[in-house]
Amino acid sequence: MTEPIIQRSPRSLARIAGVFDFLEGLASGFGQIIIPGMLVVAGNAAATAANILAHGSLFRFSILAALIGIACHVVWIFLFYKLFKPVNRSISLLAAFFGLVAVAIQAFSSLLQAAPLIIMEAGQSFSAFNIEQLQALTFMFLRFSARAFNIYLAFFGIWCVLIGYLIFRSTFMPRILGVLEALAGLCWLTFLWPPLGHYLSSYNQIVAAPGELSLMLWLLVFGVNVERWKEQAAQHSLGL
Amino acid sequence: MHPTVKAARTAGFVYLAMILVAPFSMLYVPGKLIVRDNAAATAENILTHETLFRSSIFGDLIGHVIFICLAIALYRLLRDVNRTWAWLMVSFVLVSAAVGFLNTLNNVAALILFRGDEFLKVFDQVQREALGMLFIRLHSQGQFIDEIFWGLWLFPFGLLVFRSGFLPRFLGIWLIIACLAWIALSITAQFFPTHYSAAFAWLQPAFFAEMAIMLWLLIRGANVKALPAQAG
Repeated sequence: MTEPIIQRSPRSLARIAGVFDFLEGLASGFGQIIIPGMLVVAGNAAATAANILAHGSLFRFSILAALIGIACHVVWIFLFYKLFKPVNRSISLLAAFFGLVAVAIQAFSSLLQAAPLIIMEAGQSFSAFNIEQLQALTFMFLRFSARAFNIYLAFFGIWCVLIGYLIFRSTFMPRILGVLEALAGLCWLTFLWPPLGHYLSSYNQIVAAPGELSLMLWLLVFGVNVERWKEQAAQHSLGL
Repeated sequence: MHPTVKAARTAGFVYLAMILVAPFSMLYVPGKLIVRDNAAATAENILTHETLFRSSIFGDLIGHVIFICLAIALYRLLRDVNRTWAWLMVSFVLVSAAVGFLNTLNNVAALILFRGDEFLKVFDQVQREALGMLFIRLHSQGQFIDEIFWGLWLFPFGLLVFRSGFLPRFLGIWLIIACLAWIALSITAQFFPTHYSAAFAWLQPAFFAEMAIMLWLLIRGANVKALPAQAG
């Protein structure tokens, strides 16, 4: 029987994890942050509705991109569990649990993002509302979606902190990556209280970006130190 | 009974339970109560058959609990084929079930709006009905999202069946085709909503993969003669 690729080499496992990290970042970034950011005008329901109507297919695309991102996120979280199991099996599993809960909330947030489309396409059913009311409803759901996304970020933050710890305790990746990832996690955790998260938003981005990007690039370019990974796995008598 | 056969039968039984429960909430009740693009008629239907509608919400929740049990039963059956793919299969199911649980809230919201308790009297009836309809539509939107996961989990599942040696390979391939079909269906729902019913009808042969594997597990169990003899 042929051995599956990730049993052949933890380096391939790390690289594939890096690829899904990248895909998730790209798809969710466009789907849930960049495109909504282009279309939503803060505090202006009318302008927002006009934007969405004018760029209908872009808005539709953002929902599809968000869904692709969510699917990639499950794979990414799963591969990280495999990758860090040799460091500490329980904590790696705990991180995966937090990660999967985060993804479910992320999916729910993208569901709320679809409400404006339903309102705009429903036509007849919504004749009971005047245009301002419809715009306000649309806007309310987009705000709601953004709130759900904040809750997602907080859970994702817990995952990042745990992964940061695992990287720090691992022998097969540089410790600095773990410190940066945990710092990124702390930034996302500020969204537990959204006003704080938004107040610190620009600092958050400055602090979180190096952590997330350096980890992704490291995985893509260097993967992991294979000998040390196997050593640590053997220490805990845990082959893959 | 050989433990693998027992695991296969258990998984088949749980699968049967899910296939019996799921259509009630997903197809039968919505088909009976929801009138597309007609909020007033939908509201009237749901209020006259409130118990039925509540049962469909309950059925939705039960269905997702069974789905999680099914994932665990299949994990037990297939983990020795490849633990990594087996865990990935479980991960997709867990996220799918979580989204499904949250999604039932949309139906609950619709029911609250249609009933129109005292605090909702500030809205006209037509407005309440329209809002309720919005949540009904959000619920189906949530199902379109879940369809991606209903597809994705079938990929590791199909691959494990294909490689297992104790289940027929064609079922594995069929399941992987079903994976692609669900994803195609979800994309149709997002971009070409008017073609959704047609796509569902055309993709039907692919979806029967799940029926086939369920029946195979239940009736034939696993072909343990194909397995290498195990010590103990």
